[in-house]
Amino acid sequence: MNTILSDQSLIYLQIAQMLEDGILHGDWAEGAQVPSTNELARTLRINPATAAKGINQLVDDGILYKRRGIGMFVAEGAAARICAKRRAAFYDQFVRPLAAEARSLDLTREETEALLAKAFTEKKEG
Amino acid sequence: MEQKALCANNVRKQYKEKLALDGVSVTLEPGHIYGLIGRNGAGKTTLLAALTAQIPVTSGEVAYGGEPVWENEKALADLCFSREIGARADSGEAALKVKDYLRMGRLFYPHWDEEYAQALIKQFGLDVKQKIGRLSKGMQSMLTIVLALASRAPVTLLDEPVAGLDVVAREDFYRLLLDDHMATGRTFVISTHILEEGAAIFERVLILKEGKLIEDTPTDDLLARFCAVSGPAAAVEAACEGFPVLHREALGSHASFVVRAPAADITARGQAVELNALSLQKVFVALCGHEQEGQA
Amino acid sequence: MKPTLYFCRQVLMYHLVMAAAVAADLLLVRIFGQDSIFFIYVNMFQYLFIMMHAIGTANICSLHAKLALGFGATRRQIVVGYTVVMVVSAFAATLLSVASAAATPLVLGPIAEDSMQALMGTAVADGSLWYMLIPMLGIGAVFGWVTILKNRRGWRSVLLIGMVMIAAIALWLVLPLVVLMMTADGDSDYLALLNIIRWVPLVSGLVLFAVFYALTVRALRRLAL
Repeated sequence: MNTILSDQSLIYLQIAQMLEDGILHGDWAEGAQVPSTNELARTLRINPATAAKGINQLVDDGILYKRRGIGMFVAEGAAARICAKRRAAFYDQFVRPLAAEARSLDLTREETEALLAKAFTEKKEG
Repeated sequence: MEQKALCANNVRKQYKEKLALDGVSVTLEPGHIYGLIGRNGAGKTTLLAALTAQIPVTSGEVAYGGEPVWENEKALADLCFSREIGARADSGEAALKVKDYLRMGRLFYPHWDEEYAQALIKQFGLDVKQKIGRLSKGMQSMLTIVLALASRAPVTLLDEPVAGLDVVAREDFYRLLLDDHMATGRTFVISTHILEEGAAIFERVLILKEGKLIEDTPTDDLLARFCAVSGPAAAVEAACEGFPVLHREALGSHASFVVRAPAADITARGQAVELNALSLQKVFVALCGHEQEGQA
Repeated sequence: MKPTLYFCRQVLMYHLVMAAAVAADLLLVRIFGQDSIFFIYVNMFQYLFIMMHAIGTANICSLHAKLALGFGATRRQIVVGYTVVMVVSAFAATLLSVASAAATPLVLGPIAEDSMQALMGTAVADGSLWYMLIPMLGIGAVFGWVTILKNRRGWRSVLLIGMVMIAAIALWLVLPLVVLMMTADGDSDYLALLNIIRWVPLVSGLVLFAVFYALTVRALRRLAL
């Protein structure tokens, strides 16, 4: 297995997630071309069909669009759409586990919120 | 390159005492990489040999592009079955030199690419003057890989190509395989029991168990049928209730189950558990290793 | 066509090595004289070696028939290639033998009439083509076909063919030696005897051939060719 992908979830989902991360972080601006199926397959040593599946999922979600004969491009408003989707999942994916872990460590709600606030300032400084 | 599908239709192969293939039907569609997996003696090599008409089958038929493969020069010209050399070290080819073996490839495979073969030999550091029987297991594997890749056959079958290779050589092989596959769109069937890299390489998995083809499924779909559930024992129990549990581990109040259920079904139970996908290796063990499925 | 060329190529190398061995031996006799050990090998080459040659050729063919099958040749191609090569090879071997027999006096000068060499040399020259050709074809064909047949027919039939083959070789090998012993005193009319016994291998060779072809036809029918 290579260093970027893991065994923990399906590879095409990881591809989709990786591209989404890149778009969110501004690696690929709206209208920019993303790596082709073959580039992804070669770099990550995966079957091109799997890479295509990941990319196609993003096409279905309206995040990427295809320009015939040229390649795949980031759609208008893609970052916003990813942002909205991830916000919807944020509570279940991050907040609930955070609260559960805090409870098992006997951290109070106030203490946890203080830590959160601290993390936010650090992030701003960083 | 016009590509055709290679189909086996209800193929049975009876050896004297053993039914090696028990009604195997499979269609190898052009342009895919298939992984053929199964335990030792499951019939992998027999299936590959039957698909390329190298052994007669007891019943059933194999067709390429709709035409029977048996004694069909045109069909056989498009197929390459690169056998594992080490398994037959005492047979004839052990006495051949590497270059003689490759010369046979040049002579018999109409799509042979000599330039590619030379480049691969150089890359692998194969000594062409060495006798095959005196090569290390890894070098023998590399020879079968060179033969298979340079054959440029539209349908190429490799029998345990990575068996003797270390992890670095395996990664090199898979990179070469993918590059060639992307450049040519050839169909590959790779039999192996080393599954670490398999999930990323195989688009479809064929699983043989005691001569029967028990799975012919896109790799992702197969993996998605299973998940690993971990968390507090009570929550894990509740989340997995009613699904076949293939493997369970408990450590204190923490439990970890391997369960045959899509992740979405487990999530729907609303329990606070962690879900992970299974590696292909674990799925294979679950399918072929544990006979006591569903038991504690 | 490809297997045919491939087999021919493999066998040609073997023939060349054999021819070189015969020539080298003659040269050694020339250098060390007729009373040297090399003199015995002249007969070996002309008489026994020719059979080794047949077996060797067949062995090469059977090995490569198996390999060719693995490389995607059809059984039909292999059969054609194999048969062509056996026939070509038999003629080449005979030619080689005749040539070396003819070259022997040229290289070595006159050979004493009552010497073993004369006896053996005559057997080869007189029994000539048939004597060598038929068993050679039979033996060779069986050797090679064993490989192909055993894909279909169990080991028992392979053993049976093997035994028939060994019997044929033994007959072929032993009879001239019997003649040799009977005529050791030099008075017997060994040529007359030879005239009789040379039909034995011919007949056994033909029988072998018939058996072989019957099996082949049956196997081919089963292989759906």
